[in-house]
Amino acid sequence: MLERFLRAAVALCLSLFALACSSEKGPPASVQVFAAASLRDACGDVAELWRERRPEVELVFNFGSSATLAQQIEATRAADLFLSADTAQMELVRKSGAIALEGPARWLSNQLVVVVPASSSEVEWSAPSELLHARFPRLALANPASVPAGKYAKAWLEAQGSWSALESRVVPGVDVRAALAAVENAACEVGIVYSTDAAISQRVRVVYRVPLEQGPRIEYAIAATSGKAPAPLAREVLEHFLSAPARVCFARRGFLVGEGH
Amino acid sequence: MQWESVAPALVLTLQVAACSTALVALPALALGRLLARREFRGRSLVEALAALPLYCPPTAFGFLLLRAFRRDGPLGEQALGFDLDVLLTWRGAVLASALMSFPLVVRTARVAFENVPPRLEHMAASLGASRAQVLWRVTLPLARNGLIAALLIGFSRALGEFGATVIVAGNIPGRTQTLATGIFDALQVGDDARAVQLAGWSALLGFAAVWTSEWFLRRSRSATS
Repeated sequence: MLERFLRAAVALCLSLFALACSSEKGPPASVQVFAAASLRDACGDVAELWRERRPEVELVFNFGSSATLAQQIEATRAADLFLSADTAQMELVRKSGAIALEGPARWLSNQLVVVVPASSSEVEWSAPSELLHARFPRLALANPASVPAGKYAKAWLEAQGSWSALESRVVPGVDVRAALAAVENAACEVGIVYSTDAAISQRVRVVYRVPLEQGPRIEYAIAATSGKAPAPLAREVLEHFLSAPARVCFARRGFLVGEGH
Repeated sequence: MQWESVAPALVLTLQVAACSTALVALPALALGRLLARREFRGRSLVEALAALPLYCPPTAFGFLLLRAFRRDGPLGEQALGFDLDVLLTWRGAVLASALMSFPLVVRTARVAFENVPPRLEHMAASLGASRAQVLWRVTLPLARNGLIAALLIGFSRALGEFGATVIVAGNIPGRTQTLATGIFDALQVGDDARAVQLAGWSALLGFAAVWTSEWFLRRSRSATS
């Protein structure tokens, strides 16, 4: 009995190990795309288009805050493409010498919105000063110290002169989707996310849209980075992301798509 | 529909836990044996160091591994001249799990070795068995159930490793996302249905591994007492 168990266990370990080694060489080519969390759903659409065009090349996505992704790229050079929610994180990657080919400036833009749980009785606000009210003890933001969505939100609140009053109420999330989830679960009474994040969720409601001219200018950046995929392939994926059909995908998700490149 | 997104995490988790257990087995059993039978200078220091992952937050070890293996770290591409390819790969998850499960395997193995009556080993030696023969013919067979339990406990710890894994291996769906990191990811994006499935599988695997190890532990106690 014991012998049999031991043998089975060893066989299992060995077969898993073999599986691991074989899966390493499995797909002939893959391109690692490190993308800001806010781009998650739109990237899914763009990947769908890519699969129709080049099914033999797999796009592997790593979603997270642009700050985390920039650090990962700096530490590992594992990314072939970097889609950042701001130019500051792209700048970090540039300084580390990892950029192979940069996409056009002002590739995509976005808008900040204030959201509440869908179950809330809140009606649309006429002014953002409602945020200061005591009925909102917890404010969900992406971490304003590092994550672009949080930094943009902080910049807006500072411009409104309400940051110092609200700072102690901030519940920081690891990325903008974490902030969204905090409001979805009603763990926070209110949150500030991108309008594109609010659009994918049935469980939050937008009560205030930050007018584009009042908010900080939100600029996404895109670049091919020196990763493990062949450079021409990475460039091809970059071009795919900049192509007209891909821009339609982003526009459909609510992104403000920049002028042609 | 959910199954396709759960299956890769499930397979990877088993793969990582199996490789982690294989990686840990020899050094942890050897150290367990050493601590069970030998007195030496600095023994308590070795014991405390080996137990560190039990008391230190996994994130601290994740951070340590990240610093060591990053491009400009002491084990990084620039220092070694080649890339070990640990960060953001499943190998990183193996390393993180191995580190965090090491003390549990050592402790359980140590008890298993301690439960072997020294008398029997002395008898074998006095009858002319070499040290290797004593180990192979007497100690290991007597400690076997306890050692299997030790490896299974290490396996179950590896199944659930999160803190160090998410830092070292990242959370890339289909590549480095395990059940544990997948639950976190599902929560982040508000996909509760997926989180429930992943949590269910984690509980099932963890339970199966721990329950089997308990069975072996009970047998090892009744065999040696």
